Amino acid sequence: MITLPVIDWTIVAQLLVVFGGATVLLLLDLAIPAGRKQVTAYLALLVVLGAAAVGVMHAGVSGATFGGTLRLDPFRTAVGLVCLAAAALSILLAVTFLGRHQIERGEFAVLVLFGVGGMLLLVQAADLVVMFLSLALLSITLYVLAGFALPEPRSEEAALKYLLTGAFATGFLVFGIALIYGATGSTTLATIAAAGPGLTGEYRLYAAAGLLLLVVGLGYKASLVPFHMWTPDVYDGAPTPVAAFMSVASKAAVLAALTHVLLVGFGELRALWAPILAVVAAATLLVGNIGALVQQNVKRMLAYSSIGQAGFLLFGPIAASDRGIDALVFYLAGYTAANLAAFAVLIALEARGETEWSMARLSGLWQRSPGLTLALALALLSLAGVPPTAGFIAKFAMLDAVWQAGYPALVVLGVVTSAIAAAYYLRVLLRAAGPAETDAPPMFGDWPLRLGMALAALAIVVLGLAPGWLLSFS
Amino acid sequence: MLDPYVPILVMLGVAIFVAIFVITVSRVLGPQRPTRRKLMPYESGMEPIGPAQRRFPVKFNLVAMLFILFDIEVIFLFPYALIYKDLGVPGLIAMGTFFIVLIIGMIYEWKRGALTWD
Amino acid sequence: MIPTYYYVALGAIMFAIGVIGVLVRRNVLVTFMSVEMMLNAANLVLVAFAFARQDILGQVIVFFVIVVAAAEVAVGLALLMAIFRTRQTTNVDDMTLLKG
Repeated sequence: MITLPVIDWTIVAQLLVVFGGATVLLLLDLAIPAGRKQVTAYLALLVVLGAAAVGVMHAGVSGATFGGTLRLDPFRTAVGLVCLAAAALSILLAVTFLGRHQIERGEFAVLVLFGVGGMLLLVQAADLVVMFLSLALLSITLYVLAGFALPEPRSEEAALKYLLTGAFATGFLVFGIALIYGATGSTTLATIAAAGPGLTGEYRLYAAAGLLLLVVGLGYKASLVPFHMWTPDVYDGAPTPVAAFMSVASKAAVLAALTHVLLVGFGELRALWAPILAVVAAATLLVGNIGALVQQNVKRMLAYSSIGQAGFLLFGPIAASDRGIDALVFYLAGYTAANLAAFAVLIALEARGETEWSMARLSGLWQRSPGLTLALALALLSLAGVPPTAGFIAKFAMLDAVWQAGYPALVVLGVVTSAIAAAYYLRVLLRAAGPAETDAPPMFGDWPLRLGMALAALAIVVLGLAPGWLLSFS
Repeated sequence: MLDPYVPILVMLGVAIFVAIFVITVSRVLGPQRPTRRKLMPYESGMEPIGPAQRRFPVKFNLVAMLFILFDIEVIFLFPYALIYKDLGVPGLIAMGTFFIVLIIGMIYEWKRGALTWD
Repeated sequence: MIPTYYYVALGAIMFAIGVIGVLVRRNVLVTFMSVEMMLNAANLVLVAFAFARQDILGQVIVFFVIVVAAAEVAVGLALLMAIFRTRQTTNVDDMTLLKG
């Protein structure tokens, strides 16, 4: 008789809500007539809020289940809540956008639910196989979402490019897992960590090579340099709410998984991965921010800026301290709010067929809509790290963490690239404050979009003015 | 070090030799009197119609993809089939859940009309 | 018995062929095949290690890899059909709408 592992339902409750909700909604959606697919979106919103409520309820829970492959602790709960918040805001931003672009299909909300479920699973995973499966789940849903504006050729092309790079990354990830399994005989992070010091000869080599391949696989998903090439194309071509969702939520989940792999599974090999990661972070900061400087397309600029932000996010695992983990969570929260607010402004200005996002379309925004300009300013200033926004505290905490960890060069680079970033964010704001250069594009201000934008802007301000409660949770 | 490969090499050699030998012998010794009927693709006398590589309707692609997905999911049944007695009722519940999820996917594709041909 | 690192070396060679295939070939279908090759290289290594360790976990992982690969390829082929319908090509070099 084989006994199955005991399941701790408090740990899997959140996942059950999301996946159960998504599955039921998939069936319910069949009964909802074509013109009323907004109902599906609002139901999905309810599911996300329910899952978030479960997460808040279990805020203090720590433990493992399914034989140690799933784990819950305050860090995981916090990153999971960031992902859920991103999903909720993205659904709000998308509800009317989809109708406007005549791509209102019920699958959108269901796919977002499955995607965010994959992200939660990735965050909670303490086993490489679970990480692989959850990463595949979130990737496949994001491929489909990127191509959601089908038969719009740009959207199709974005989806195909994302799928090709994503599948390529999956190959690296799986080969890395295979080598690590061969070296240590296990895929559970804790067991890998325990087996680490005893490895000799070729097995040590397998473990190191496996770790590097794993980092490559995850690096693709987090768009770290040199695995970032797909990012601008995919964000540019994908429907704007989808670009908003994947720029924040999947990045948060992948960064959390990367942190777990490096700190829990391979803490012993820190001398190997820390320098490599520091170089990758430096390259990511430079390429992302310098790339953004030359963009004329706002969506591509935001894509490059999100690459630059990923470089900052890497400071968390590099610092490898409680301070770094706290800073990572805070940075993820602040970045999510700011990036979603910035994309929300684009969504408010995007009519059907206007897929080229040249910067001139933002010109003269201040005269037409001070509210939108204010939201854009708040978002971009937070991304640039100007006080008193969330971005300032986040960047400060990250720089402090790597300084304590002994990487003064990264601190200098972080400050310099932030200055570069401020230049291109300000360029956009100056265009928005200046005179109109083109015919005024239409504006949309329905309540879900306004609510989403307001919540994101509010989060930027609140996190900027009262950061203490989130900054010292661990 | 390479000892385990020797039988494979011998086997390979024998196979190649036998194949060449048999074909050559039948070439040399056998009578060869081709007729039109013998040279036809089907000796039953049916005239072949059209090219062998036909174009498939695009709809077939969709059905084929759905088939592959459900076909592949079934591999999880193989390990379960080997140890289902040892797993008992908890195993049945776990696999039952798995199949309910699969069936929901199937209902979805059915209702969305992916299985209707016209 | 054949040493395990022979299998690992074979797997690494297969993996490298797959990687080069993805980077060099421009037809999307061939790219999919190359990715499949990378995944199967990993599967080979997993099975070899599972055999060497007399441990079932490696074989179980292979099942998951196969299923994920099938799902990914199904989405990819569906997308490819949609793209072929609008553009009549499956060559990566023709995908030039998004640049900058």
